[in-house]
Amino acid sequence: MNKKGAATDVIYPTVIFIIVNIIFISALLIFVFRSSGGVIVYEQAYAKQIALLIDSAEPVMEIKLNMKEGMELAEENKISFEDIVKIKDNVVTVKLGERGGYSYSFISDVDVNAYPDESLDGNYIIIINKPNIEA
Amino acid sequence: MIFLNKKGGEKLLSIWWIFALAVIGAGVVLSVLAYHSVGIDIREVEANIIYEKIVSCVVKQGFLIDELTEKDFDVFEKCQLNKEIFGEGSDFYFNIQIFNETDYLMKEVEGGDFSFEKDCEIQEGEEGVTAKYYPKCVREREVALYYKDNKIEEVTLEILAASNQAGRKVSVVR
Repeated sequence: MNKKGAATDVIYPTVIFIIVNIIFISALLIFVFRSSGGVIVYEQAYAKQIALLIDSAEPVMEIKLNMKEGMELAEENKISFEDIVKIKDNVVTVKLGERGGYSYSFISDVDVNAYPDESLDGNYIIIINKPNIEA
Repeated sequence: MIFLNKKGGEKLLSIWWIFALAVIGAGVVLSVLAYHSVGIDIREVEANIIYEKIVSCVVKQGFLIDELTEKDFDVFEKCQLNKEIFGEGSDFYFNIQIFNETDYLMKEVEGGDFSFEKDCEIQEGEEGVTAKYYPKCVREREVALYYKDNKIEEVTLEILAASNQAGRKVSVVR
């Protein structure tokens, strides 16, 4: 084998080794970052936050909640912003991805309506009323 | 003894290297999944909210409300708590005990899963037992005033509130 051939024999495996390592580390980092800012975490956080807000509130009250991160995740997953939060039978359900959503109950006996704030992008309005009173 | 030439050694090393990468990758993935599966625990905050809701509705300006001592007192209606949520198989519990100045139990009102009371006592005991699936409890004592025969008496409220709600991932959203 000539000198050129010997040099490529050493360089190619080293280059492949470095590329494989970079791909592996990148894949791990992408997985960790996507998991930490992912749908599962935000769905749970928003559902619990809304349930606690409702329980801490008194009728009649209007709460404005900033859900900008949720809106961005929902847009990525082609979920309409008005479908993110559903409140029915004392259960708050938040859906930011295609695979279902996250549900959490609140204890207060109140009527709750939630809808996007048209005047401020990424905001949700939560109206808390006494039971059997239409918003 | 097996002697390997240079090429054989490199192959053996690459197999070990792939194995090491697989172990590291699996470790990171499992750690992240385990971290996220734990969830956000707000049970103690919820127990505090139950306690505060009860106190704020049965004590007004330092005085115990008159209805509380009545036989048909409905704590759910008065404190705006959903009766169905505190029904059978509930994730919540509360207990209100009213003691007079001589520590005599005048009235007791409770709702939710009654087994939580024992679970809370176990956790509050000297052993300080903690368990992952035990409810989170808040026990507080409040002093209030109470009108009896045109006299003002002092009463002590002992309120225990507990929550064991875990939340759930749902496959279909309606």
